[in-house]
Amino acid sequence: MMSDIPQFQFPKIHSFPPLYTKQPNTTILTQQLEAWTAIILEYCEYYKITRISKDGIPKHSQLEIDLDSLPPIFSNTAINRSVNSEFKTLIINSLIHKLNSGEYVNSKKPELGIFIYWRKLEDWGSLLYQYVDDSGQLGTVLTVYELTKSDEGGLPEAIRGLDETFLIKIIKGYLMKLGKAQILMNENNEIGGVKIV
Amino acid sequence: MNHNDNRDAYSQLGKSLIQRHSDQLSTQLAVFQSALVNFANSHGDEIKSNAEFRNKFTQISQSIGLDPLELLLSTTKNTKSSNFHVALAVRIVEVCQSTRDLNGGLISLKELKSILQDTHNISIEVSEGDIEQALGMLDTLGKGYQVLTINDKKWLKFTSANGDGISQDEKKVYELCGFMGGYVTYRLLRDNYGWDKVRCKTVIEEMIMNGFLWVDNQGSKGELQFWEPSWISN
Repeated sequence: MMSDIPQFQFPKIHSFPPLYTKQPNTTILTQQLEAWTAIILEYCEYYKITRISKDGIPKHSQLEIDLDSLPPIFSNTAINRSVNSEFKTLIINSLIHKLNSGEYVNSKKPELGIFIYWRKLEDWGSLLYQYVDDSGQLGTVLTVYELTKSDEGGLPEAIRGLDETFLIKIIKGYLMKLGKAQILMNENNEIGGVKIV
Repeated sequence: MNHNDNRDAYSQLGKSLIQRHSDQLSTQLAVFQSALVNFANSHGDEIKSNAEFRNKFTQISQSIGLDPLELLLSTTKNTKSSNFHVALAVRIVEVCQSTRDLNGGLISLKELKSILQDTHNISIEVSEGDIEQALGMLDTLGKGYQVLTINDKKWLKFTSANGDGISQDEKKVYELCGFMGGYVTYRLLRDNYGWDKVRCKTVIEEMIMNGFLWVDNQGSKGELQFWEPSWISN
C-alpha cells in the first residue's frame, strides 16, 4: 500500500534563483552550502530517505512511497533553475566531510549512492538495540528480513522498512564496534543472520 | 488488558501532573519577571547609582533568564529616556553583526525593527524614529552606521571600521533591483543609467565581493543576473 503524505515544503531560499549557481564570494558560498545541506537533511528526514544517489535522486525510503513522484532536491521547475553536477558534488562533499551527515555506501563504488544521516548512526544503533532488547531477542539469531520488512515482528515505526544495506551499515559501523553485534555468514558467503548481544 | 488500562491511566495522570506543575512554574516565573521589571522601574536611580546593588540586581536578572539589557529596554519604554536608546543601540549593533554574512551589512529598517521586537522575552515597542535616534548615538563612535533611502524605503548600511560606506553607484544598483523584482543585469544597468561596461563591472564585482549581490548564471538567454539577498528574508 502506498502512503499518501503531503508534499515537502521547501524553504523560501529554494526559490531564490542564485542558489543554483556556485557563488564566487567564499563567505557567501559557505552560507550557500549550509543552506543546501540543511535542505537535503530536512527533505530526507521528511520522506524518511536514508540513501540518495550522488546526483541527489532518492534511492530508498522507509515509507512506501513512489520515489519517482517526489519533487527534485536540486532543481526548481517553477523558476527553471537546477544545480550542475560539479556544484552537486561540492554540496554532497560538504554534507559528508563538514557536517559528517552523509557517507558513501562504498567509496569505491560511488554509483551505489550516499547514506544520509538525518539521524546519527549511533542513534540508529541505539534504536535497533533497544528494539531487540525490548522484544527479548538479545542473543537470538535474526534474519535481515526480520529486522527490516517483517510485519509480524512488531518493528517500531522508527526502524521499520530500512534499506538492507543501511541496516548492515548500522550494525557494522556502530554496534559491532561496541561488541554488541555479530554477523553470521552462510555457505554462499552471504549474510545469513544477525545476532545482537 | 486491565493491567494495560491501568498503566495507561497512570501514565496519563503522570503526564498531566507534570504538565500542571510546569505550567505553574512558568506562571510563577512570569510573575517574578514582571515584578523585577516593576522593581527596576521604581528603583531605577538606586540601581544606577549604587554599584553593589546594581551588581546583585544584574545577577538576579540573569539567574531567572532575563537579559539586564532587556530590562533597560522595557523599564524605560514609557519615558523613552536616553538609557532606552543606549540599550537599543547595543541591540542594533548585535543584530547587524549577526545578519551581516547574509545581507552584506545592508538591512531594511522594517526588517531590523521586526528582529528587534521579536527577540525579547518582554515585548518592547520600537519605532523607526527610535532606531534613528539610537543610531545617532553611535555616530560619535565613527561613521559605521548610515541610514539610506532607496525607493522610499529606509535601509541601514553597516560597514566595518575600514569601510567607507556605500557608493552612489551601489545605491543605484539596489534601486534597480527594487524595480526588477530582485535582480539586475549588465544590460539593464547600461540601458537605464547609460553606464559603460567598465563601470558596470567595477560596481557589480565590488558588490559581489562585499556580499551585497549573489550571482545567477541561469538567467534567460544565458545573461548573468545579480540578485540582492534581502529577497530571501522579505
